[in-house]
Amino acid sequence: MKRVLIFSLLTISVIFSACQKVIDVDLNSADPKLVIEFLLGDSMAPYTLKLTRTVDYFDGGVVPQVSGAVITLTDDLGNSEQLTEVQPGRYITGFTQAVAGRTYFLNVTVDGETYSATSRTPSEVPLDTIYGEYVPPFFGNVAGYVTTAGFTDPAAEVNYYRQRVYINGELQDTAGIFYLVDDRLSNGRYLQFPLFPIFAELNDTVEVEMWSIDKPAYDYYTTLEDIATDGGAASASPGNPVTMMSGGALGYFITGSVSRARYVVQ
Amino acid sequence: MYLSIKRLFTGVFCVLGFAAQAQNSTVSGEVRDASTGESLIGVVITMAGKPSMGATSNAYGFYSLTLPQGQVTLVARFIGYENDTQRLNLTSNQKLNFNLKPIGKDLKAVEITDTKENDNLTKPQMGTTKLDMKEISVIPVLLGEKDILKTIQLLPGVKAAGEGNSGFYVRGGGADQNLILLDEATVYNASHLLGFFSTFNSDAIKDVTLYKGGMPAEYGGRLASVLDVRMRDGNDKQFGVEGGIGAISSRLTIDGPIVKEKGSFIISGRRTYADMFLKLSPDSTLNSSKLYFYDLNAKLNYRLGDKDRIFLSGYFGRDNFGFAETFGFDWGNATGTLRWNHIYNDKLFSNTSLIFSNYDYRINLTAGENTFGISSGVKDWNFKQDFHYFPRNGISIKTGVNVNYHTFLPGKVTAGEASSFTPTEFDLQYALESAVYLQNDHQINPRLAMSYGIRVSMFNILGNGNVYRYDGEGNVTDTTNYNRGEIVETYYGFEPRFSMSYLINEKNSVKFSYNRSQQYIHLLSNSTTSTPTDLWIPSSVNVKPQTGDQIAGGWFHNFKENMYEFSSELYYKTLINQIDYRNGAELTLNENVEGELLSGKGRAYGAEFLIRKRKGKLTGWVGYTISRTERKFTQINDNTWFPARQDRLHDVSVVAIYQLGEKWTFSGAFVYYTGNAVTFPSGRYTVDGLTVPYFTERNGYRMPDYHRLDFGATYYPKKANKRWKRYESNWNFSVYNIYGRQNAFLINFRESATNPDQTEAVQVSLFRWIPSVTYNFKF
Repeated sequence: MKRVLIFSLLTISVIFSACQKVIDVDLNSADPKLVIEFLLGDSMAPYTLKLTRTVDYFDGGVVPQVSGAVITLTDDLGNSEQLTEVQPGRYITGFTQAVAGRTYFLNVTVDGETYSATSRTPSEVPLDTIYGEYVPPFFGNVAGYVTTAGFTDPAAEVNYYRQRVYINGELQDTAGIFYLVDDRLSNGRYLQFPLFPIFAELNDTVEVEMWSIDKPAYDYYTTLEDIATDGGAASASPGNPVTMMSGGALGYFITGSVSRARYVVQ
Repeated sequence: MYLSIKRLFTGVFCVLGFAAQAQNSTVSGEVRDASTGESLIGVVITMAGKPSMGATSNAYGFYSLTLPQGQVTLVARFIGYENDTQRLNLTSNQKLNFNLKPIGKDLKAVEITDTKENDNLTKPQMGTTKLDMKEISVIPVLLGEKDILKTIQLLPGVKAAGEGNSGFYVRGGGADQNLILLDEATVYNASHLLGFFSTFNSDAIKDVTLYKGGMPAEYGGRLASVLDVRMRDGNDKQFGVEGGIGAISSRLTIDGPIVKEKGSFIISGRRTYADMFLKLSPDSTLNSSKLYFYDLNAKLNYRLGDKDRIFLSGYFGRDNFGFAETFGFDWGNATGTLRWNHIYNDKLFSNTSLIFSNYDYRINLTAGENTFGISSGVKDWNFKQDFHYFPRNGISIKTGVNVNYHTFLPGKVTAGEASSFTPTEFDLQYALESAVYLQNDHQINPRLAMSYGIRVSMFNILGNGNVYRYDGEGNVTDTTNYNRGEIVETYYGFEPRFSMSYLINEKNSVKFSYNRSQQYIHLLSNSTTSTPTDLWIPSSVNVKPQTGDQIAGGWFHNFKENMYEFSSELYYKTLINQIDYRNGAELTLNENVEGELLSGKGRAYGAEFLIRKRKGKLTGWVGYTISRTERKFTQINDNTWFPARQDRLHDVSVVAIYQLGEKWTFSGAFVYYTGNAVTFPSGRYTVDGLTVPYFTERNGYRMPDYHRLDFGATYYPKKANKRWKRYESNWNFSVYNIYGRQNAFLINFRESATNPDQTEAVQVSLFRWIPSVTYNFKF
């Protein structure tokens, strides 16, 4: 829906030949906030948690890493482990992996402040189709093969998904598009959509992984997507993504079940 | 004490008794354009030598004036027309029509003869502006598409919604708080092409009146303003053709009599043709793409004898946007009005209208066998009965009822077998919006005039399907199922309207007004520009009706024999039950959209100044507004007052029109305003390698100040052909943003393309030096 509007706006801008220039804007400075990034999958442990802080918008440097945090991960069966800091701001799990149906609790203590978050892991939904389609160049886009991965949405539950694409083993940067889908208007249907604009070439190996996630995670990603590409300029009231952390931290704690499918472009 | 009360009574008795003592008769009739037979709205008819004895023609050109018997001379005056003076010996009730001759290009007619042209001082209405359609045709606009909505934006108190946008804000209200009427039918989305053009084809329009305050009781349903647009009736004397060929569109209007001087018709169309050029492209995706809009206005009217007249008018407009065979998006309004005017007697005029209004949009996607469509809209069936009663000189009473049946289609998803989507139709929502009103325009004495009235409005939400209730977090707490037609909830409101003017002397007057209005339907829109998918929703158990109160006071001054008009108005406005959205609100195709809404309050205040020169070779105005518009929501900015998006401290507009001889008219328009309040990030952070903006407050920053100068010239060639005596034409040239100011349309915050650790603000600007040429003709 939103994409339709953006597309229309883009077309209009092209027609009226909009002009762009970098300008100086005087922005206030903001008190630094803790940022937590932790995506916990169901295989391929260990998983990494990143701790950083916000900086002023026009601060020229990289974001600061946060060391010395005490981080525990607990599940609803009472299993618990403490994450280990392997380099400044990077903390890894032991053998904990997300298990469908369980709920996980994350606790981060840094500089005497405590932040916590909860995530439930939904069941895996298998991808059963994957293919590429050749898309000719238009509007300045390069030509290439666009991948589509399909699956059947389970009718009995409310589902939320996110797809990610690897080409030759490398996670593709999608400039703020998260390939999110829910089953609000598609419950129980066969779902597939082209992962545009990720282009693969002949003989590339393309793998799609699909994360089944819970509603807070989906809401987080959709609200992040709203502001990630253009700073929210197209919205009348841009805001921070929905909060997943108690204690006033930014970022996310998301667990999910992952299914995968791959093909070689021919 | 006793004495003063007695004196007061005597005074009142004198005022009321004056008319009763003399022998009176009523003169009534219609005011028309002498060349076309069009009825004229708002023509002032006064008794020569006694300017307080007067009447104004109503929306159908009818007037009624009760005067002492004897020799009287009546003068009818109207902007752009020569005065029509008629003498009569009034001995009994009498019918008298005025036929006003339009002032041609011949400037000699614009002599300052009448010194009583100070209606702007003596009428109690404040914040009311009537647009001169001739002015609209020469004021320069974007791409030469003359546009009433863009012209009203040049008035103080009215602000453009954005660069080149036809949306507007009035005195701190939102774009959805303007009631836009075309022949009494609500136009729900008055813009084309994402707001760059309005739905009004000026060729088909006779009269435009904007009420930004002191709204008469006959109007209701929106908080900020009423824009009452009336279509032309068509020439009932002879056939005429009129049209224009412009940079982006062409127009054609045909009008003429059905039966001479009894009935006439008009049909007027406009279509853009940007997509015609796409057809020339060799690229198959481009040449099968569509991007156009059209408007079609049509109207018929017929007089059944002296006392009855019927009208049928309609408007259809649509935008069509398509990309190859895969994507289609179209939206538009359709309205229809069936009207019956009846004159019961010299003093009682009646209008009965049956009005239809519809707005909808459709989106279609086709990818092989996979088809998918979305549609949504709103539809009204509206019945109106108005009486206009003129019991005696100085009193003009309007009363009526209005019943409007709304049907809302929140959303419908169609999908083919192979589609990923489930065909879904959200429950239609029904509501009945009704009102009764009573209003009196009362000339108490030659100096003091009042207009007072009340509107009582009611809104019944009618059942059909599930009604949800939400907690403070927007979660559903209760679901109740209602049968079709069952009353779910009823809201009502008393809306007092009052305005008065006191004429201090021939050159000065002061005015005051207070009014309250209720708004029962709401527009959900979360983007910076008007979009076709903006959704109208009715009030509900969760969404309360909006209420607005406005008080205003003003000083009006004319000088140099009414050549210049100066006005200053101060206003203060409070708004309750205003709508905003939760973070990340999903507004389209969401059954629980009401859970995404926040409710808060608003206030707006300001001062507006206008100097206007109405006569002479150079005409135009300078307007300046200083104002504040704020909102307060529990969940936003810690429940403190924050500036609304349309909050602009300063707003200046200058319009000048200069007539050089008989062949050229030059015009210029300059606007300057403080940038909108906007939300910018204060910090940034990194998530999954992406740079993410960190916001600390809503609307805490400002867009850069906006300014622009437009220039226009109209050339009227000499009539070349003697056989084509009636053929008139002109060339209109204009340049939009002549000094090429790069005004900010958007400011994007993003990673620098060259260094991902650096961030930058990128300003997007749209229109600079946009020239256009339009050829207009008429015969």
